[in-house]
Amino acid sequence: MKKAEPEFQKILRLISQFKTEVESVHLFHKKMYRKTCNYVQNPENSILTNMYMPNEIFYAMGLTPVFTEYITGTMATLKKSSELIDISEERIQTTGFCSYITNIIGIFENEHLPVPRFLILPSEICEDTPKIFEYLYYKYKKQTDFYFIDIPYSSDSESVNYIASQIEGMVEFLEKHTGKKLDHEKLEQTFKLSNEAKKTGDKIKNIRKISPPLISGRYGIYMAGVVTLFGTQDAVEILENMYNEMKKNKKNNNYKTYSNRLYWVHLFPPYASKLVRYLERDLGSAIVGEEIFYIPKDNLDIDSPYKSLARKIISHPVHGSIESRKDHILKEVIEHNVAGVINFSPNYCRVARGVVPLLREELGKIDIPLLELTGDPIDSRNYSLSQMETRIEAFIEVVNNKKEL
Amino acid sequence: MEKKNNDPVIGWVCSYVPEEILYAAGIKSYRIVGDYSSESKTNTYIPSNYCSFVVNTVEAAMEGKYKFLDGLIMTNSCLACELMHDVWKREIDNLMVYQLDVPRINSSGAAIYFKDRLIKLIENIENHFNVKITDQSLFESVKIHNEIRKLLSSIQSLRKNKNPPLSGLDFLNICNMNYSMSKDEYIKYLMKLLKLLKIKETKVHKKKRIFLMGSKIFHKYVPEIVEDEGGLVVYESMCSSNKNFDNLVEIKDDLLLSISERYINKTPCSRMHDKGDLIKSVKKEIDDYNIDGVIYYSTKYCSSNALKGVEIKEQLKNEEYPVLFIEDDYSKNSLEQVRTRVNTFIELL
Repeated sequence: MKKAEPEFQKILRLISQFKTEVESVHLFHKKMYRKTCNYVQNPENSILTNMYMPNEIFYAMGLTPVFTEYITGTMATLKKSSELIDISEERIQTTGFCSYITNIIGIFENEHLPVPRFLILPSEICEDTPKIFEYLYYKYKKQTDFYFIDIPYSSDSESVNYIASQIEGMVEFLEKHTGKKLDHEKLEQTFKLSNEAKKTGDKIKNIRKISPPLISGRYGIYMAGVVTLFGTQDAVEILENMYNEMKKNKKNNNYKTYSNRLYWVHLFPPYASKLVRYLERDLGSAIVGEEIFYIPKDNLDIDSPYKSLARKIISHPVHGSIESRKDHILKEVIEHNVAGVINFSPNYCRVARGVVPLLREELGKIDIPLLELTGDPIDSRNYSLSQMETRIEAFIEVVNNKKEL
Repeated sequence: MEKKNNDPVIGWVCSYVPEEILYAAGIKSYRIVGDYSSESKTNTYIPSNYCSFVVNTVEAAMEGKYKFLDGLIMTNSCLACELMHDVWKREIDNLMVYQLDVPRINSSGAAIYFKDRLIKLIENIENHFNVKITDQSLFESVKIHNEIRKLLSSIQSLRKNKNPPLSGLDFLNICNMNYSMSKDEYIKYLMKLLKLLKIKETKVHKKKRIFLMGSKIFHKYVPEIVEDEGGLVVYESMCSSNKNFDNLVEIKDDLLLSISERYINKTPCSRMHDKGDLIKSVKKEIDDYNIDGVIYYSTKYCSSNALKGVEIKEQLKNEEYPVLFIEDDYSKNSLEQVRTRVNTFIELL
């Protein structure tokens, strides 16, 4: 008898069938759906991780990584999270934690996805995820094994070596548990694909900095997950498709004119797509850059694979001090030539909220207003579109007034 | 605290900061514990969803309560501590603020990495304060700190007795003295105390033996409530107590590596990666100390402690150990709620 389709796969299938106005976003959903099918069919070859983990080694070993934020975010896109929220609230019994992460408990309890063979996690980006993964390991240790990579605060060469040796340990761990050896040629191929994707990703970032908005900002936010496909042909294909779409739109003057350019910091509530539509269509303000649509800084080097991957982790702007993250955002804000910044802070996310006071102060010095929106990123039950619209409308008024001055 | 002879004083927050190094440099160390007040002037810098201990501590700093400090050593313990480092560095003048990188795993690689971080810390202290840490001064310092750990462990062991010679509140006060007193005086005090406690006549009590675990507790309120409500705290697994003295630095040729190993191998803080070792040690302590009930205490918004608490609580409950999870905001505001819950828990034991 054919096994029933798990809920997450079903939702992703529905999303991937929905044709978006930006073709590359549709392509991204289709690729992610196919990846999820692989995961569901072969959980023994699958890995649960987060979006900051470089996946090149997994792809070179024929393993399927899926990241937590994508799973819970996708469920929230179609407002299918209420049961998951109930489960995480029942287990945790106290508030204060990121629902992007805690809802993963319900995904496995409700069998929306099979338990993966491996849990592999870097200590970046927050402290909630490692503890939830430890909880998952405690619950499912008969089915899964756990490898944790400690990412230090510092970025010097000793820190790179420390991470590199742990990545090397991860390869030994995977080789031991899968019985497969990491093939150097395959790793070289994934590195090449990763570098190719980076090259196109950079071109997309650069064209967006200097052009009128060639795609809607909410698609930039949705595409943040493409970095988890780096090392596959899929990532190259999606990004090239996006770049070509943008070039074509520019050539054919197929883009809208907006009064304001905006920059989006941190995540976006996946259920709130109408909000961006309101911002763009009704208020004439477009998001032209997003912090989370991040393209790695350096190319991967096959002659030094583990150190190279370590550098990829450590060069991410969320790594290290809050001051350095603030500096990265400021640089992006200036490069994108924006008139305002919107930060969405999930209620209990310390990563998102920690940077806001410092960022507000620094943006104030260059006369760029910042709007901090707060809310649950997953739970849409307390979300009020009209309240959010009022806040955004007031913010755009401030942006407009500053321009007039 | 008052400074003597203008000698430098360095503050520290996390129990992964090796005091041995400060002592070896001739610098007085002072543990920053906040003041358990409930006002907050720190909203400008620290969002409301950050750990209340951190908010409280920065608040105290901004009010000038740590003006006597010449330096501060923070760790990358959690995001809140990282922000605390940034805020302190920006807002408090004339202070050396140093961020010490502490690994989250227990492995030989992590010990070597941590040793390297300690070398950098030493260089920084030597340059900033114009002092020299020699092999000999480090050796002497290790001996002194090991002595303190041995004495505290001996006092701790007395609490295994059916009728312990000291309460949880007494032990908390003893531990707290370590954070501001001179180490030499503290050793003398502990030796004298241990002698007295060994011969002290103890009264038979009918109190429930409580194991307190979770975040740090430096204030008297929670243990006082437990003991007022019919409990007796006989063991704490917290970085304010046993995690600060539970193992020794092994005297080896590479003393700095030994110091690193001691900190990496000590009973882990909840921020450390744990694949089930913590619950094993908790169960052992429950047996060793003949525990009637476990109270897991967490400060509000401390992810590592609260989320680890979920797992610990579930595992203990599955094996029918009585356990209570309580959370407060490191202020006096929630104490009566804590009292109600503790009272009910102890009545049910």
